[in-house]
Amino acid sequence: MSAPDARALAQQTPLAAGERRTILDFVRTRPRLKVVLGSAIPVTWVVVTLLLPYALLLVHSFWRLDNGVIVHQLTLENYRRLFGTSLYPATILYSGGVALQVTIFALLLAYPLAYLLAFKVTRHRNLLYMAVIIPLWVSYLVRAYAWKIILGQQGVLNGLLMAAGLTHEPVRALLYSRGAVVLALTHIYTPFALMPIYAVLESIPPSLKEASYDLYAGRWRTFWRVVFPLSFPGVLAGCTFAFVLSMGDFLAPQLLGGSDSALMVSNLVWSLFGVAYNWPLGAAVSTVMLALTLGMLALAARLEQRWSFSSREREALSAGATGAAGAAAR
Amino acid sequence: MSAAGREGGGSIGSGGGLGGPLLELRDLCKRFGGHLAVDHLSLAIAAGEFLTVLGASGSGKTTTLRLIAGFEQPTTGAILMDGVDLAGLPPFKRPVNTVFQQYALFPHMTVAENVGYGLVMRHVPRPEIAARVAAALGMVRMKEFAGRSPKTLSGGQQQRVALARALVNEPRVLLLDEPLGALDLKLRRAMQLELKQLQQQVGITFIYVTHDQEEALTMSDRIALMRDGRLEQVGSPREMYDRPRTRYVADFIGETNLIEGTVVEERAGRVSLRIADRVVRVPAYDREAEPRREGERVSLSVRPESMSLAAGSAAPTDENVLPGTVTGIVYAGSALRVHLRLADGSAIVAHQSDGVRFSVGDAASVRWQVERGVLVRA
Amino acid sequence: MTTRTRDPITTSLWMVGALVFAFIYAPIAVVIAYSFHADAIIAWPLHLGTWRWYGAAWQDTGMRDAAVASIKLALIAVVIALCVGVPGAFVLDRFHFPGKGAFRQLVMLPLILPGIITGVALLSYFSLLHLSLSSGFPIVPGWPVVIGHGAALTSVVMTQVFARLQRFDRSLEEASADLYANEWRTFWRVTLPTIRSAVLGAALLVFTLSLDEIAVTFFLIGRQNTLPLQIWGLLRRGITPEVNAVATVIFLVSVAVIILWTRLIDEASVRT
Repeated sequence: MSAPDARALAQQTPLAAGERRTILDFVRTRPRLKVVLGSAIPVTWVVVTLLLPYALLLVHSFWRLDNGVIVHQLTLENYRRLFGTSLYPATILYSGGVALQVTIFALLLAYPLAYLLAFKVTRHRNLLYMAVIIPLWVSYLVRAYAWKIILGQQGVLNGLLMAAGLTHEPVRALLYSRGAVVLALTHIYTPFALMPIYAVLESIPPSLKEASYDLYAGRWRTFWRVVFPLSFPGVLAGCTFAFVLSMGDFLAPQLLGGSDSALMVSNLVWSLFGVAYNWPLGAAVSTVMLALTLGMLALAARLEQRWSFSSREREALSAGATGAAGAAAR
Repeated sequence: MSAAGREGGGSIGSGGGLGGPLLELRDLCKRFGGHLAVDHLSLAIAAGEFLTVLGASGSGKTTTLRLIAGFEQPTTGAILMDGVDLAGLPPFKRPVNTVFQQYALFPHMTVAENVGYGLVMRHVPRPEIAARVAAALGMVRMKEFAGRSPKTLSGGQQQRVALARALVNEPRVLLLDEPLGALDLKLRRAMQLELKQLQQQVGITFIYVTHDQEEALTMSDRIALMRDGRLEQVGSPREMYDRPRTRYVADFIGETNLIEGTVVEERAGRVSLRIADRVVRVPAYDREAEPRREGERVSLSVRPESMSLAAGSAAPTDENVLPGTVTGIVYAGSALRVHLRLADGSAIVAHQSDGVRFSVGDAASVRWQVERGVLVRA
Repeated sequence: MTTRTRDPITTSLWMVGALVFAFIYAPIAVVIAYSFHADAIIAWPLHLGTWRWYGAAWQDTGMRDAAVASIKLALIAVVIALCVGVPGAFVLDRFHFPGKGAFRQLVMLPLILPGIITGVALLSYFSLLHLSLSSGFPIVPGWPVVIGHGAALTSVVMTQVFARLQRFDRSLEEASADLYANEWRTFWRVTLPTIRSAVLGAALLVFTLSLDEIAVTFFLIGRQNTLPLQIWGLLRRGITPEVNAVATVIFLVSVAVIILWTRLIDEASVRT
């Protein structure tokens, strides 16, 4: 491109300064209209398929059952039954207890493995992490029912115990017990708890540990005073997941809980919407569960805000700002 | 402050070969929430000129660029190209192209595909695209990299591809958003030269945004200095350097000494100032409606390289003299930087390349030619 | 740098880690092992040595119909989730409107609430709308269950794609607009190719989750069972190793899909 040609070309306008304006241009200059049009599909879908059903569940809990027919009259009857008798609060407490046990065990199992992966594994770390995570996404049913095989009277565990000479006849109480439910749920939700813990541990800059060693703290104290506090948000998230999900779980209790299983909240909802056919009461129990779940999540979020350090803060504190050239403000 | 925009060497309409400026910003305002990023900006840009919009972070220079490109719409005011307002037109309908600060090369396309993108969008026939892409890459000396992925290129190479990608479309105006910021010093200096030569070769209007005043002085036909969304001063590099209108301009561009004084009188094109018991004279350049009044406090700007040092306080009639004490001497390679304190406590820096050697604590006077001093507004 | 010091603490840490890892995989291994069990009753000890349960599963028409229904359902769910979730992610990333926070929370609900609550809510919703659970059969396994899966899994796409969009360099879109491409062309030629792996990954994830979905499905299913529900029914009646065979196949398919997903995610995070 020689200079005179280029100059000549530059004089011709490939695009006139004022191109045709269309209705699209009109929309572009009206930001509010743009937002409304753009968000129409997703927002409508979410409202119609999520907001309305959940809201309706709430409304349902205020209706009542009359001779097997759901009557659309508002009443507090369901909630009175819920909180009046001891059955339902007891069930909720029982479920909470199970969930708490599961959470503690999951945490005790997940943390060491997460720590190992984050700090001690150098080769194939991603591969191993994936190996730990994959069971999460794989058939839940399979994993729950596997415990049936293991814990049954003629199951693997009994077989091993007898073969080892530790017992002489099958232990009945292994399956269809609270213990079985806790064991199975722990198995299922440990990877769930591990994910956020690993994520947080991995993001701790190694220079923080090094600084701690430099300042005469050994490995134990470095862990308790530096690593663990920084990992707290991940621990919190993992515990929250494990707790909320296991409290609302209904498959494991059904398969493995036996006659005790009716006492988990979700089993209650299950039967109220199924065999026992009392939808309004079931809706009320569900609403209480929903409120509890949301409350716990809000609490966890509040705690996390107070305790977490953004990764940016941590980097700035440990590495010092490596002058970001060119990224200057406008 | 719009008065500052219209003065400074006939900026409006100068060089506009088609009669009138190519691009005109008229009373442009842009508000983000409560913050006014661009504040009643009026500026005319001529065809074929290299204009630098200079300013600190937050001065509104990048916002102005984005307004011209079409990524933001003005709150009020107009952007006129050939007299037609571009308001409401999205970026892809404006004959304007941008070189982005972080280059914004499409990572999933090759260099050639990147450069040809705009031509494809405008339905240019395929053989012509190939030819024009090759020419553009040749212009920035990146022809051998046509088939490569942008991720494999260095910063300087990416920058040249970004330039080619914009220029191949032959826009009326090319906008450059601090394109050299991420490069190291040597490369930056080389690229400054290349860009200037390229602009002269191609003849397209360049609007260049930077915070680096040295860069602005080196490359521009004109500089528009912005501060807090307003145009502080616009003019050629020489005008901006020799005749700053305000303290801010004098201080931002190059290094200067700002000395405060009291007006004694204004007569025959000269203003007499009292500074620490001495009277100095300053040319009265800006044609204010009223002459300066006695007793007014004003600032005087004198560049360090305009000052010379002497032992005594005698001086020819076309020079000013101020006595002081040497407080520090810094060796700076080609010259000495001598720091002095005047009788009224002001700190002065003078460059001395030869002459009497002073030591810290000596009494010395600074002298400068009357023509070299500039009165600046606060 | 971690030096491999064989001190007791590190060694015990490794041992604990290995045990936990075994704990996570042992039950799955048991299921797979028993799918080759020679006896019809699942009991200890294990007698390996036959493929017949796989054959039986293949012959089981109920199982096959359920598998077909599950796949159909999963595919439809992916389509819905993408059509709603991708625009939804853009809405979350780009737009501001009153109630956006509430919208965001609402979208997260199906992911964090126990599935049974979502299932029950949808059930009462559809019954109020008088939408039969078998409506649309046999083209779809029932509109309610299709909508249910779509509703529950759209959130997955929205959060995944939203996370990717947050890392997306907006100046690429501006460059495209600067080079004369309008919004639609910019989306197809620049935005989508760049976030493509996140979208695909999310789609794969939705597919897998839909295949395994039980809670919501249980309440909304009509005449035709999905695979998990079919297995569920078998479990309650009595376990034959056929169930193990089916479970093993599901496991292997899911693993393959998830490995594919992680590959895509890795590629996405490398490119930025």
